[in-house]
Amino acid sequence: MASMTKEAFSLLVEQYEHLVYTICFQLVRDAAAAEDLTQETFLSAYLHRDAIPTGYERQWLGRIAANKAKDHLQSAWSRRAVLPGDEALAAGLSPPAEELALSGLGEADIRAAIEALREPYRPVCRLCLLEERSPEEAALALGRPVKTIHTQLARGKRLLRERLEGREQHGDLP
Amino acid sequence: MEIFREDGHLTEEALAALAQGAALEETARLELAEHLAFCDRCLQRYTELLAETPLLTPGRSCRESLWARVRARTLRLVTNRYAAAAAAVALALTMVWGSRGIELPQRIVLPRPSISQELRTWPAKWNDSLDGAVSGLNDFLNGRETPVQGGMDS
Repeated sequence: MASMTKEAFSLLVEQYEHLVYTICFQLVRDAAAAEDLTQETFLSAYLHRDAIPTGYERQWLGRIAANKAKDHLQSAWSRRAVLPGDEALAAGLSPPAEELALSGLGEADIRAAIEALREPYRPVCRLCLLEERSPEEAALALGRPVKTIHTQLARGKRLLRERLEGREQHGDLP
Repeated sequence: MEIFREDGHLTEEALAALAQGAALEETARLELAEHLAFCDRCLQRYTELLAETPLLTPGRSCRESLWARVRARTLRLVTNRYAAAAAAVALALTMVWGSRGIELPQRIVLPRPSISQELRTWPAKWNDSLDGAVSGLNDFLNGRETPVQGGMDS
């Protein structure tokens, strides 16, 4: 695969800038952030320009843009995703609230709660919590990146906790 | 609105909503981005939908600032390499001179020579000093500690 010249890359930027910006904006819904992510996308693309698959530039850039938007949304989500009570726990001293919520339940309860989860969390929680597979094994089985499995497992556990807390309050699964 | 089908891929409804610019919730957008970041099939479906709709125009184009960032990044990489090399040299010199300073002999005060004498003897002293430094480095690397007198001041 031949290395792309600066001129050729400039043409690529000109051709796909609107597409990349549209993808970023539709995912993050913030014009300034979308502009920054567009630039990040092309910077990454330029640094890996030797790997640009000829004829598939649109897909390749779209993938990078989705990744940049995902990272942006994930960091924003993580900053806000502190449930009431979590902030009182000293980090590293107490087990996560999700683990505590699950440890006090029988297997049948956990299985029922996991089966009631929606995609994409159900198969991840089933593999990692019921079948006790590692995130790496789950990633291989589901064809997802390991990092995605980790974040989906964390979010799945949080959903399980909310579901189980709702059941405690209302006497049944919500 | 369902984001995912039972087979784990994105629903037509979710992709259409995204491509048409519908105001989706943040969690839904995060799940969509996560999936599009690794799924070739759904990314293909999404970009095909985008090909049928007018694309958005950024308020400021990234073309000019992109090359400025590329240059800044290249400069930073080069600077970091030089800084690392300089730090390695400084560390090596510190180790050499530090090891030689462990057993310093008692300082002997000699009458100070004139400047012309000093200049005449300077090349020889420099050679002695260099020999001393190399010898000290060899001793240090061989694990021996011998008091070596070196340097330019005698």
